[in-house]
Amino acid sequence: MKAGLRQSMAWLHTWTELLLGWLLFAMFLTGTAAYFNDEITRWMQPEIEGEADPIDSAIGAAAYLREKAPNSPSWFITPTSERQVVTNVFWRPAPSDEGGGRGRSATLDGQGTEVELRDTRGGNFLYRFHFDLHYMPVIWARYLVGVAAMFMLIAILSGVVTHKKIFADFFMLRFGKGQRSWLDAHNVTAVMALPFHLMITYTGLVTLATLYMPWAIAANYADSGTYFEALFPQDAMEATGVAAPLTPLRPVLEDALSYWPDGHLGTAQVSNPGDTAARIMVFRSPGDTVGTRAERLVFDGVSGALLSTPPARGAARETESVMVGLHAGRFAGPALRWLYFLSGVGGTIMVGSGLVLWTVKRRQKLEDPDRPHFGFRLVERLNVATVAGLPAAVAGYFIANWLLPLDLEARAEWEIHCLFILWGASLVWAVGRPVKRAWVEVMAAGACLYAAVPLVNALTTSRHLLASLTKGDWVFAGFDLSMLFFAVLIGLAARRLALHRPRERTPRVRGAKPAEALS
Amino acid sequence: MSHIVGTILSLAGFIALCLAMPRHQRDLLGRALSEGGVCALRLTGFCLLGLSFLQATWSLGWAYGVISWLGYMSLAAWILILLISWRTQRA
Repeated sequence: MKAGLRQSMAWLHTWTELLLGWLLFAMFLTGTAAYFNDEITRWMQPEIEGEADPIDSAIGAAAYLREKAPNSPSWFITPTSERQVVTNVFWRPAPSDEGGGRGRSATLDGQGTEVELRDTRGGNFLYRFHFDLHYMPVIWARYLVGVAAMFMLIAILSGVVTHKKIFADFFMLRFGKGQRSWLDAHNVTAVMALPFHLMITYTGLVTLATLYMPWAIAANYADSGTYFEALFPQDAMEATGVAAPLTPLRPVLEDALSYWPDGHLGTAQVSNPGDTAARIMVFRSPGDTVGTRAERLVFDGVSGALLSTPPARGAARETESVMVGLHAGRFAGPALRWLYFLSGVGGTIMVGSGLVLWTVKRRQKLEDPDRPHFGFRLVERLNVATVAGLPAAVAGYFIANWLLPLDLEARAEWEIHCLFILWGASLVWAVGRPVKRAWVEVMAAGACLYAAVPLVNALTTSRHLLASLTKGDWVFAGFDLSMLFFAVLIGLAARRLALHRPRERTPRVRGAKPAEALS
Repeated sequence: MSHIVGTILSLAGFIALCLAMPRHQRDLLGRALSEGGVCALRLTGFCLLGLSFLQATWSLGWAYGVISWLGYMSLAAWILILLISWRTQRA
């Protein structure tokens, strides 16, 4: 029989996925967590709570900046929102300021007072790790991630051909049946959210398309700088040097909101504040529309008059905007956000079960199952460290956020080191122990770490689960409950694995039965 | 609210599609259905999924509707799969 389409696809599927499977697992895991980026950050900075009106918070921030950076060429104010309780401000220092060029930022409360929050990268670290990785130059990371995403796309498409029974076995998930169960888990998680997986992988590539395929820009623009200027026009004018008071912000922001019925306020940029050439650019919140490149209104900074409304976009830009928006899911309200999260968890399990499946299928065919060859052992150990170790390490990151001393030098960086130290430790453990024991032990440790997160929260802050439940603080309650849920889930998996006794296999007579095809 | 309705419609659709498959008839009903029954179930299933789509796009608009609908189907299928595997485990 000649190698048909299905066989070659099976080969492609198996090896593309294996080669970058561990990276993809990490990308899926952190990307899924990043759907709750803002909520994780809020949980990791328990010092601040409460809600503030976005307009009030923007006005407070402007007052702060007038005091702090009156000569700055531009301020950026991201007011509070439904998901964020702090105001973030960023400004470019005036050329005359000491310290020079680098932008400064500050975190303010809803009234414009600077707040002392613990030094942490919060959910943003997980979000950035998703495509920038860590401990390596960003540009390399993005190429690596791009290659992985490309492989993922190949793996999805070849997977649909390879796993021929995905539709016949559409509703099948059988537990406790060895290889069959792993295959079921792999198929079910893949098929249930197939549109999501295709969308997320494809749009993921689109988010960094100009990096991966720079030729379209190279052919049409002098350099990428002029391209981005054309794409995101600044509309800022040269400062005239003639002082003029900045128009009150409230009417401007209210004007902007009346332009977008049901809309929300995004970032406001003030260029040349206190100059006759001042401009105020108000962006619509990226949470309002599926497209992520938000609309922008330009106001005169002295008179407060509306100068320009968002131009109509070309089809290509609109498409790009919507694709990036679909990927990041910033538009999603709580219910849809959970659906995104669920699909992401499914994707993580799909990649993880695929990795495990590689070893499960090959174990039976090993010549000497007690002494597998090096490649097999490598995959097996890396699987333990990634599939069981990384989730545990993420829980460790949350715990580090509560336990590291607040005045530690480079505290935010140390939280991240903690994650990688734990992850590395799980690899050492996986290498040092018999593989099955390693699976059970690393997963049990992961379950304990997840269970410890709400516990440590209760011991170190006043915002423990009971308090947040009675207060109706769903960000904190939701976070703690999710941690408990994952603790139970991982714990059950570990228990199941520990109790599992593989059936004694009667050695199969060679050729008596055709080798089980990948199905 | 519309999320719940959409998910329930998807779930109902998948239950019908699931029961249209011989293997699940054996597991869940204990008997095989007639040709006509299978056909009717399959039709009902797809219609219900279609209804869930209409409901989502009707109440949330085109852009959000399509995305939400895919989400409902994923969630509904997950619920059904877990229910089935829990039932067959017990049996």
